[in-house]
Amino acid sequence: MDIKEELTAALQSKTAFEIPLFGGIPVPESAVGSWILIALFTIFCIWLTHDLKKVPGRRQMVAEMLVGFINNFCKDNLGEHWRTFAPYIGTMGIYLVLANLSEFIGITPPTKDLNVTAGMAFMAVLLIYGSSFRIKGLKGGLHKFAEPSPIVAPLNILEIGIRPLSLCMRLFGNVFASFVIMELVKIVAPVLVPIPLSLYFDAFDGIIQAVVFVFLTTLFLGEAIE
Amino acid sequence: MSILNLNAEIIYVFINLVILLLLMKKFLFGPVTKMLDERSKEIADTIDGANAKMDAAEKSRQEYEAQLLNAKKEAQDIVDAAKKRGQQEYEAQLAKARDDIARMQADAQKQAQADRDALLEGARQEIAMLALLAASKVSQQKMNSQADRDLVNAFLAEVEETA
Repeated sequence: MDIKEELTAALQSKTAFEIPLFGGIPVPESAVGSWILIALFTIFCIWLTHDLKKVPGRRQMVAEMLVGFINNFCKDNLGEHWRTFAPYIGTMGIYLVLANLSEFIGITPPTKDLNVTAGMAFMAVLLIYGSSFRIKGLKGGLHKFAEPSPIVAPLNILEIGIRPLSLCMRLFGNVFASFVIMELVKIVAPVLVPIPLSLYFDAFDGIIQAVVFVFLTTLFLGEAIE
Repeated sequence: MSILNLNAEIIYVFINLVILLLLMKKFLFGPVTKMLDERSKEIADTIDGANAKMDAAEKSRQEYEAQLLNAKKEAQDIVDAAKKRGQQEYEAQLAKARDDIARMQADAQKQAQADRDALLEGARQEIAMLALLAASKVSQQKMNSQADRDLVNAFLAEVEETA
């Protein structure tokens, strides 16, 4: 088995198992990975936030810092509507960081699956334009397309497609590329060498991409509802 | 099985995200944000309460100061009034004393005048008596009738007028 075949095999988005209903519903590996991450993080959150007190303990401080950070980020970028969006923005960020870092607990990153990044980008765009119409009303939402000048309206309409595409492809490309590089490195030098590289490609780049995705979504959202 | 697979399995992503969102709302954002809000509200309430108390304290301090000032002023007024009354009293007494003294002096003068007049009258009568006595001795006759006496008196009056 040469390197090319090995790499191609590693890069496939595999189907983990099939639900034996309606002639078999395929469940992709990314979904199973996501479920594991969701379950683990939910248990972690329950542990963090059970028994909250007015005077916080160390455990509660961690939860408050995390939530406070996300809330403040949303307050800064979304203004008065932050309460509505903070949980979703936070969820997106948490999920992306978990997904990008999942390599470290031996789960193939769900974000390596194009479906995942596309789905997230689609939901982000749905959130952006949905909120725009919800908060500004039909007229205000439509008017947003003619800002700052009616001349740019075609560009603004194109952005409906460009934004999710760029969000989706940026994230997918980064995670996919780092995955490819790491697989190659592991094939060439399986011992010790992958550790520092993995820290860069999986941890650093993964977190950066999660932040970029969330930051851009928030930026677009803030622009849409301001 | 492909690398760039974009297919119906995308539905799992939506479902997963919504599930994670609900879980996070329930277990992370909901309770923690509520706790943070409650705490900031409590802090704001505490600060407001403290401010209100300080305001009240400041207000009562000002009231007390005003009252103190009033009391001082009243005391000063009372003292002033007392001084004034005392002064008036003193002046009245003094004036009365002066009057008394003047009256007493006048009385004394009058008395002295009266005494002198009485003395003069007495002396004049005495002299008249002596003159009568002397005249009676001279004329060897008793001169004690009313007519004699009038005569002597007229004589004396004449002497006084010339003197």
